[in-house]
Amino acid sequence: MARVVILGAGIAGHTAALHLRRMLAKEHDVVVVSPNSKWNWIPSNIWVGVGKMKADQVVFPLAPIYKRKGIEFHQALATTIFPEGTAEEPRPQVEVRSTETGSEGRTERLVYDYLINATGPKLNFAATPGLGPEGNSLSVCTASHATETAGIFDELVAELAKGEKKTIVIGTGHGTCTCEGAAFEYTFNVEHELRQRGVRDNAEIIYLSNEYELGDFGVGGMSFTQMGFTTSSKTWTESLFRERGVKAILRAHVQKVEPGVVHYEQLDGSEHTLDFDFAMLLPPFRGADMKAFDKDGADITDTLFAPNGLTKVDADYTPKPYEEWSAEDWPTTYRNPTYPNIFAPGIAFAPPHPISVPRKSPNGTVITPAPPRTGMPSGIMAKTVSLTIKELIEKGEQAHAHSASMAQMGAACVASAGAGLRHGSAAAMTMFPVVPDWKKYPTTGRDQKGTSGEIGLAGHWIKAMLHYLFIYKAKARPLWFLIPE
Amino acid sequence: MADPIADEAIASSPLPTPKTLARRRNVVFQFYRFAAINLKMMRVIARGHG
Repeated sequence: MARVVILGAGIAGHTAALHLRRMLAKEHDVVVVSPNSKWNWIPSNIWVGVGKMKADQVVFPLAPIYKRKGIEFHQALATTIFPEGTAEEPRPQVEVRSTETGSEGRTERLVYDYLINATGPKLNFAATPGLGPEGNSLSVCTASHATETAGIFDELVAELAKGEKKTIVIGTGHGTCTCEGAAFEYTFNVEHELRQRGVRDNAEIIYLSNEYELGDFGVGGMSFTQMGFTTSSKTWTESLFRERGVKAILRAHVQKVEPGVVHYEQLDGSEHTLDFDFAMLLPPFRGADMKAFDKDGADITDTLFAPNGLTKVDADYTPKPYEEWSAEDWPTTYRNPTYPNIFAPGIAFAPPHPISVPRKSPNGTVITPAPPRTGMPSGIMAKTVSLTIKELIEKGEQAHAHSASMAQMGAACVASAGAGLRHGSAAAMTMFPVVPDWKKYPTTGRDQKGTSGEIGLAGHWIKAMLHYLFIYKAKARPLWFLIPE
Repeated sequence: MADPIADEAIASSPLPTPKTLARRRNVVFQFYRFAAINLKMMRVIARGHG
């Protein structure tokens, strides 16, 4: 009998839990530890943030699903890993602290044979003074953040309706943020919603980003072949900004957010302030900040985790200049090299380096998007890890490890630019692979047959369809596993 | 306050014509694009799962 413990119940953790439970015999235990009682389809939070959806349309309780599927669930926060066991208990184990009402703060240790760290990102609002809902800006990173933001957005619309002029700032709240796509989506959903409510003319909308150019999206941009030309995502994105009258401030690191004022530095070292009436700025991410100890009690956190708290896996972490980055640097099995029974799919794994060109200001400030790991790659990684663990359990340690490198997989990203069955719009993008492979595709780094971008109503329909499909899948309804990650 | 570099890039980018904008909203044409984009995505998904 084997016991697989999964930390986190986001896209990667939940996908791994459902697949493992489906693939493993009942004698094996699948255990999920998540500090949240509910699952959240995060891509739809942007619609909650403009009032087009309610929070309960994007979340559902995890416990009933896990009970139905025979998965052991602990509503708790994982704090410490003992990958070699302890003096008292030689089996590997993880310490968790309950977040469940009634048992809050109680700790226990869960032994495991295989551990999947799918804790995703810690929203690091603390990296920028004044950033976030507890500071002076808003967020749509969680359903509750998005609900709060929607309420303030409604108040803003009421003031615009009275004829007041307002400045709206949406973007990234630090020079090393990722998820520029989410900021882009929220920008254009706000713009769309203001037009729908007849108050667009009174609002100036500014997209504030750490990207070097529009259309970078943390993946170094893309090239599409359209109508006989190869064009860049830069031109394509700039065209949308021009059409919708949205301004942009790029190459920016937000230094601090004061009430109504953003302070930022740009790549040339210049420092600026920007007054706002409404600001939604995403935080940078870091790992879950767990500790690790060996069997003698020595701190081995640095062995298991990178300095940013993300888990070390089978990537090439050798520091090297941008010119020497290659597709082979990226992990394939998401297995920790020191403790091969620990895996980290999704945002929890430490990338070897960014995908976008790394840049610093003359003051030494890093202004480079971190690499995104969106839902589709995270789901594929989680399923891949599940397949590997299944084979390890059934065939032993010599079993084949499945692989899914971001340099060999594509991604489909649908960036909403406004909701509505007849009036909605979205930028539907595909890229193959996510991490450019300049050896294989020397012209643009990616396969042109798998890389595309298109704006229109059809994109909104796809985004809406994905919302319902993935919630159906996450609820483990009949034949859920036929829906690809 | 905006960014002069970004402002210039946006100002010189292609502006879609009214015909292009209408095509992006046309239900019949977009239904066809819905099928085409889904096929494209399925191809990318199939390669990723391979």
